[in-house]
Amino acid sequence: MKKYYPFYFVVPALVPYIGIYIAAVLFGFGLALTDWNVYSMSPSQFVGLGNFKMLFQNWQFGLALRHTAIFTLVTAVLKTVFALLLALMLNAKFPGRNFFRAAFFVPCVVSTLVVGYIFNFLYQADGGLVNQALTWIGLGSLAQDWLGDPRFALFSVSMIDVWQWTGFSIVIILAGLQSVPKELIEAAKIDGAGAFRTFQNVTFQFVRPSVNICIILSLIGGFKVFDVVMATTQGGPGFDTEVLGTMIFKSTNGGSLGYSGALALVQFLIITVITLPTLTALRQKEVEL
Amino acid sequence: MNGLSVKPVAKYAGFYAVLIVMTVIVLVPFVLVLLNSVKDLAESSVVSLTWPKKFIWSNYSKVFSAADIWGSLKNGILESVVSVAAVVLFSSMASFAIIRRDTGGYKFLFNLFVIGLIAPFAIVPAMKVLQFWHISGTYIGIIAVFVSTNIPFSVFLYAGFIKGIPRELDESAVLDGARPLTLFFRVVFPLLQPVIATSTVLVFMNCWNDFTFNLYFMPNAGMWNMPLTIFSFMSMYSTSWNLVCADIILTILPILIVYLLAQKYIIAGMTSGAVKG
Amino acid sequence: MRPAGKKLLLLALLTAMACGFAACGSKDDAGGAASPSGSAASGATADGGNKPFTLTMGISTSNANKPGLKEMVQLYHEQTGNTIEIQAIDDKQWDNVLNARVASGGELWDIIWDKYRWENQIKFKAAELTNEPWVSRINDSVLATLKGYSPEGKLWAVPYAGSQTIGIVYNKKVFSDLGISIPKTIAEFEAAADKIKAAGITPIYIAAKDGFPVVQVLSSFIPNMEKTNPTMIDDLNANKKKWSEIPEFMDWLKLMQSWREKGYFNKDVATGTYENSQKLLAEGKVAMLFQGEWIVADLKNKYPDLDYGLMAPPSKDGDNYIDQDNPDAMYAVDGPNAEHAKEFFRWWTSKETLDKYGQLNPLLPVFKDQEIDNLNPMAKDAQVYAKAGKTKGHWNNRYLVTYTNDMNNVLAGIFLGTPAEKVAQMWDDFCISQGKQQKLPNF
Repeated sequence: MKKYYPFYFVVPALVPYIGIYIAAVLFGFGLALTDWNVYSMSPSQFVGLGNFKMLFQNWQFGLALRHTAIFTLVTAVLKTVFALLLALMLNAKFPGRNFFRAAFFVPCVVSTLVVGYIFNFLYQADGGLVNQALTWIGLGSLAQDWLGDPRFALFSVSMIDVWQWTGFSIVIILAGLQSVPKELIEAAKIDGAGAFRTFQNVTFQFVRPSVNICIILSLIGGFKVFDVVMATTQGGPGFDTEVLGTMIFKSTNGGSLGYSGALALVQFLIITVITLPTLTALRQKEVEL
Repeated sequence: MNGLSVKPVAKYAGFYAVLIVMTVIVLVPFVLVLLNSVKDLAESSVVSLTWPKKFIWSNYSKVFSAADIWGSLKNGILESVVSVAAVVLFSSMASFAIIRRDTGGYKFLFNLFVIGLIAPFAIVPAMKVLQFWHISGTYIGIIAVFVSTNIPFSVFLYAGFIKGIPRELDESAVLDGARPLTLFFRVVFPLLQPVIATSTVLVFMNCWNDFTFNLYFMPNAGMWNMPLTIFSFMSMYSTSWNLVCADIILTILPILIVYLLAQKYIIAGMTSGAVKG
Repeated sequence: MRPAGKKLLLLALLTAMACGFAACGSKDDAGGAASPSGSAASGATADGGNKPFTLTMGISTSNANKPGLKEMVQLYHEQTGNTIEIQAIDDKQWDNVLNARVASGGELWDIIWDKYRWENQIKFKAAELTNEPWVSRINDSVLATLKGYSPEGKLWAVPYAGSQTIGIVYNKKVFSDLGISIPKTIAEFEAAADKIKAAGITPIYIAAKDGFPVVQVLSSFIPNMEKTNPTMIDDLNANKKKWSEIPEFMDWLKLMQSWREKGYFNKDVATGTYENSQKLLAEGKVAMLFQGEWIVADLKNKYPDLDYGLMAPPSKDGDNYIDQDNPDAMYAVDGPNAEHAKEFFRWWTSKETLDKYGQLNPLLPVFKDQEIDNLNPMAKDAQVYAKAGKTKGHWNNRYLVTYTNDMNNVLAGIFLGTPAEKVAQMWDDFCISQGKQQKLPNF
C-alpha cells in the first residue's frame, strides 16, 4: 500500500514551509548569537551566549515571564472549561441550536487588532460598557479603570482573549463530541447512570483528545500572546502587562535584532519545554480507541 | 445525546437563559460598534448602547472616499483566495501521506510541521529570506509567507481527522483500480469536508486580517490589504469614534460574510459526525 | 462523488482566477521588486534628462498630512512632469518599518523624510548635500546646528523648517479667564496650577498611552537643567555619571512626584492619548500640554479656533529656557536616483517654492531669503525666547543612547505614582542597557 501514499504528496507543503518558514526561523536563531543592533556604528559580531546572559540579568525579562505565565494559565483554564460546558450544551438537540453555534464563533474571525480596539472602548473607566453594565445590575461599586489600573490590567486583557477564542475551542470540542458512540450513552442510561456519571465515564473519555488539543493550543497561544496586549495596553501601565511577545517586539524596535532574536529563541524553548511534557501526560490518559 | 437529561431540553428555561446570556456577551460588543458607526460625532463620544438619534450614513462614505478601498479589497481577495487554495491542497495531501505512512521518517516530518506552531517567525529574517528568493515586495512573496505560516496548523488539524478515516476505504478503492491521486481526490478529500471548511475559514481569516506582513513586506500602500489601508487612514481620526467604528465594521464585514457562508459546511460536518471509530 | 467534484471545480476555478490576478499584479510590480531602490525611475541621470521620472518618498502619516507637502508635490508634477510618490506609513509603525527595511538591507525609498538625526545619514546611506547650490543660503545659525551633527561638518538632508520648539502649549483663554499671567518661577507656576485646578480644569494632561508625550515633559525641562549643569549630556554620554547622579534630574523627578500628589495631572494618565489631549485642550478642559511644534498642524486642522501659545517650563529663579529640536528633513538615499532627488531638492529650496510653501506651513525659516508672515503661535512665542538667547538644542539629539519607546514607559512611572528613586533607577538601567547593546564606548 505504501506506494499509494507517495512522498511527492508531501513535497508541495514542504517546499514553501522549509524555503520560507524554517529558513527564517533558523536565520533568526543565528541572529540570536550576534549582537546586531541597527543603531550601532560598529559591525555586528558573534557573541555566542552573551545575549542570553544579558537577558537573564534583565529584570524586565522575569516580569514579562511571570505575566505571560499568569496570562497563559488563566486563559487556558477558562477557555477550556467554558468551551467544554458550552460544547456539551450545544451538542444537545434544541431549536435555534445552529444560531447559537454560529454566534459563539463570530469573535474568532475578527482580527485581534480590531477586538483590541473595541475593548479599549468597552473597558473605559467612565462610560465604558463594562462599567455601565456593572452599574446596571447594581454592582456599580465594582467599576474600575480596567486597562489603566495596574491591579486589573493583566486580568482585563486575559478576559479579552477568553472572550475572543472560547468559540474556537468550542468548535474543536464539538467536533470531538460527534465521535461519542450513541450506543454507549444509551447503555449507560439503561444502567441507570445519572447525567454526571455518564459524562465522566463515557463522554469525557471520547472527548479527551479534543480537550487535549484545546489545552495544548491554548498553552502555545498564551505564551506567544502579543496582538491583544499590543492593541490594548502595549505592555502598560508601566510594565504591568508586559509579556514575552511585547518585549520581543519592543526590543526589535530598539534596533537590537540580536537581543530580540535571543528572546524569541528563549520563548520558543519555554513553550517546547512546557507543552511537550504536558502533551505526553495528557496523551497517557487518552483511552485507546 | 450526550448524557444530559432525556426530557426535551427546551423545557429548561435555565438552559436557554445561560445560552442567551453567553450569546449576548459575545455579540454585544459588535452591536455597540455597529450602533456607534452611524452616530454623529458628539453622540458617538459617549460610547453606549443607545439608539442613534439620526443615522449618519455619511460616516461610511467618508471612510470609503479617503482610502483606496476597492484596490485593497482586490489585494485582500487575491492574497487570501490563492493562499487558502494552496494551504488546503498542500496540507491535506501532506497530512494524508504522513498519517498513512506512519514510519520514522514521516513521523519526523510531522513533528517538523508541528514545530511550526511554536517556532518564532521574525520579520527581518523573513525579509531577508524573501529577498534571497527574489520575491520580496511581490504578491507571490506575501502569498508564500501566508502559505508557509498556515501550513503547520492545517497539517495538524487534518492529521487528527485523517486518523479517523479507516484504511479499509483506501484499500477498497485501490482494489477498484485507483491510483494515488485518484485515491486521494475521489475518496479521501471529500470525506475531509468538515475540516476543510474549518481550515478554509481559519486560513482565510489569517490572511484577510493580516496586518504585520502587509506592512513590512509590501512596499507601497497600493498593494496593501483592507485592514491595513483602513487602519492607516483611521489612525489620524482616533477621537472621531463614529468614524473609527464605521472603519471597524467595514473591516469586519467581508470576513463575516465568508464565515456565514462557510459555517453551514462546518456545522453540517459536525452533525454528520466525522467518521466514527 | 458529485458534490465533491463540484467543490473541487470551484476551488480550481477560483485558484485560476486568482492566479490571473497574481500574474497581472506581479507584472505591475516587477519593476518595483527588481530595482534596488524600489522605484520605477525611467529618466536618465542628471544631464540625460527630459524624460519625467518618479521618485518614492517614505514618510510617516502625520508628516505627510502636514499642510503644504502634498500641494508642493502636486505643483512639482505640474511644473516639471516628474512625480514624487508619497508612501506614508502610520506614525506608530514608522520607526519599526524603517528599521526593518534598513536592517534587512532591502529596498528603501528614494527620499526619506525623518528627523535630522546624527545617525540617519549612515543608516540611510544618504547622499551628501554639502556642495549643493542652495546650502549657502541657509541661515548661519541653522547651518551650524545641522553641520554639528556630522563629524566632518557635512550636510546630509534638506530641512523643512528652521527648528521645532518643544515646551508648554497652553490655552490662552483659560489663562486669561482666570486672570493668570505666564508663571516664571516654580512657586508662581504652582500658584497658577492651583487656581486652574480650583476652577475644575485639569492643569496638565499627560498622555502615557501613546508613549512619546511623556518624554516631552523631560525634554521641556532639560534646558533649565543644562543652565545649571552644562556638561550634563556629555557626562552621560561618557557614562561618567548616571542620570540618578545628576541632581537636576532627581530634583525634576521629585518635582513631578509632588505635582502628581497635588493633583496637577489628569487621572487617566495610563490610558490618555495624544489625540484626546488635543481635544481636551481645545475644549478648555485642560490648560497645558507638554508638546512639540508638530502639534501645530493638528491643532490648525482640527481646532482652528483655539487660541494657544508657548511658554517655557518654570525654574527656581524664573530664568527659563526652551528646547529647540532639530527640524524634520528630507534625505536622498544614495543610488541611481540620488541625482533626481537632488534635482527635486533644488526645486524645493528655490525662493518661489519656499515662499509658496511658507504660505501653507508657516514655520521658522531655514533660508536667509525666506520671509514667513503669520508664523504659528508656538513659533512666534519661540522667536521671543530665541532673540533673548534663551534656547538650548534638544538633548536627545546629543545623547548617544538611542531613545526607545520602553523608556517612555519607565518615565511614565513618575506620573503614575512610582517613587522618584525607583523611576531614576529603572531609567538608568534602561539607558545603560541600551547603550551596551549599541556597543557605545564606556558602557
